[in-house]
Amino acid sequence: MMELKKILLAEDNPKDVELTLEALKESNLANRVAVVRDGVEAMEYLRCQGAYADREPGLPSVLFLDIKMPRMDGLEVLREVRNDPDLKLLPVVILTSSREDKDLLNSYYLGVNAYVVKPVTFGGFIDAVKQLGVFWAIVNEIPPEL
Amino acid sequence: MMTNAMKEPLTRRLSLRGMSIRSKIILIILWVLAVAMFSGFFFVLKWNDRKVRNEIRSSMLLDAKMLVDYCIVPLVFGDTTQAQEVMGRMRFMQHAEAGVLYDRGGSSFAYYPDTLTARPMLARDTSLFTNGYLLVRESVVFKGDTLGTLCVRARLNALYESRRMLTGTLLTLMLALFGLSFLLAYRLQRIVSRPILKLAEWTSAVSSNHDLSARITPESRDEVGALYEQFNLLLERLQARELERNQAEEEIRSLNAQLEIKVRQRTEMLEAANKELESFSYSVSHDLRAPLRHVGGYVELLSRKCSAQMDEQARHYLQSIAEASEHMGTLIDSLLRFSRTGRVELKPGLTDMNKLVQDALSMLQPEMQGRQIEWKIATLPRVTGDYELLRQVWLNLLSNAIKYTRKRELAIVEVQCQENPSEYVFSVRDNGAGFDMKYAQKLFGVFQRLHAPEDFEGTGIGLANVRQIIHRHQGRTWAEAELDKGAVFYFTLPK
Repeated sequence: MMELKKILLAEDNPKDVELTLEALKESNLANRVAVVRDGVEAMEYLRCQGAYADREPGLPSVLFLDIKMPRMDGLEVLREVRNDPDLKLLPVVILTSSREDKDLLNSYYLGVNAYVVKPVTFGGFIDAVKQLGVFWAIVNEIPPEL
Repeated sequence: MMTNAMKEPLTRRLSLRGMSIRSKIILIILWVLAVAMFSGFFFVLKWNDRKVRNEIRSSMLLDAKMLVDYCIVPLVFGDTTQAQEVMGRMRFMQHAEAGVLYDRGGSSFAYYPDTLTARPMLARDTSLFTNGYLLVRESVVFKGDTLGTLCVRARLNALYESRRMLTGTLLTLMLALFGLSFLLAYRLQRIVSRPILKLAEWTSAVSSNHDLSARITPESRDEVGALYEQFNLLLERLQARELERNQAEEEIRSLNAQLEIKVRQRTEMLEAANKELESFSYSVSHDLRAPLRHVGGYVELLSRKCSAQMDEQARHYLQSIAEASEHMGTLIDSLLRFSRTGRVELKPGLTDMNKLVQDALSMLQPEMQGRQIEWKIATLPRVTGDYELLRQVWLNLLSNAIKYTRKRELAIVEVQCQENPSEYVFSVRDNGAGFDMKYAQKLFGVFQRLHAPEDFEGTGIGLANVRQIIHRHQGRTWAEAELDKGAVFYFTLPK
């Protein structure tokens, strides 16, 4: 069986992390999730640096990215990823509370693959996260170089 | 092709009006001179005539008197031959041309010259100028007895000769005088014309150079000199006024600049305030929603995982928490939408209100499920406005109409438009729950509700949105209603 790729979740709020993981658990995807707490950690994970120097090699199948995070926010991470020749093909999904036009425009301008607003109701949230996990980790074909 | 001069009427070309001042002065002087000289000429001629005539007459009278003395003897003796001889002496008379000697009875006695055929008329007076001749009569008197009459006819050649000579002399003199006067006038007219021409030249220079500081020095103390002074004075006043105007303009310019600075400052402040508002609503949308989502999430988790361990009351509490957080989410969303509607840029265009109403109705289809609603929609005009925002207005008003007629078996909703000279008045009338007119003022405020949430759900933001959008289109909103009878909502849009 082909080795299943990870999902990288960049989210600073532990409650959001917990709820997201709960949602992914329903699709049996929770054990494939790697969680980072901000943009800097996300970049370290992707480049196997710092605390992640010893992680098993290979890129995740998708990066779920929150916009508002300490140290380095989601849009900055997106810019870094798209400017890095090794990372530029990585699928990135923005998962945020913001529906502001400004954020939407900036994200698409920087080359995001999808932009999802977290639904306010938990039912909606669980559905959205489930669909995202299944689509990006299972259904979607990733570029061969990754 | 005709030249311009030829096209002008003859009288105009010859009139004084078109001439230069110099020519006018010369012409006037020469005219006056001509009139004076011609009248002098005429007078001298007349006077000369008179003098020459008198000379001829006196000389003739004297000659006749002398001749009469020689006629006495021949008349006394009736000697015609001698009389003829005496008459022959008339050839020594300077002017005499012909003569007749009459005897006492009035018959002609002797002639001069001998060949005379046309006899001189017997003049009644002693002398008479007639038909270019002078007739002179002298009686032949001897010792108080009149023996006969001598009549002499004189030529006026001397008069004509004198006239001719005088005319020649005078004409020559006149020509010389005329020439001399022309030269004099040509030189002297400058005294008058030069200051005027100088003034004219100077004023045209002032007006073409726009130089109000120029002054002209008077050369004479006459009227032209006074005119110069007046011109200088006028220029001085103009200069003062221009200075005043320049100062005023300068002041206006500086005021404008100050105003611009102020406007820029205000705009900056406004932009800052707007930015602050934007970041405020941004953080509301981010930070307020997250905890709400968490509340909802954990409530959901709790009810999924621990429902078995809870009694009915606990489950009811959980349900209430879920509903409350959901409601708060809706409120936050509506508030954000309201603030965004106020900030979004208007994109006015020609908008067909019929299409907007149809759009709104099709979007409201889900809310009309299982309802009996009679729509009475009039034909609506096209207006100038923002398509999206005006659709929001119809959406809110029609959705309200559907919502508040829910308890009617047959809901009736009328959409109409009245027109007056300056605006369109649109209205949505329903036969729903209505409201008490006492509270009509509160209706369009944010989060203002006139009905209990258990009767009619809602956030109380819809009509506030309507009012905001219509105000931004320079329109007005109001409502009329009666409790339990229905309500009419009006809004206007300028033409």
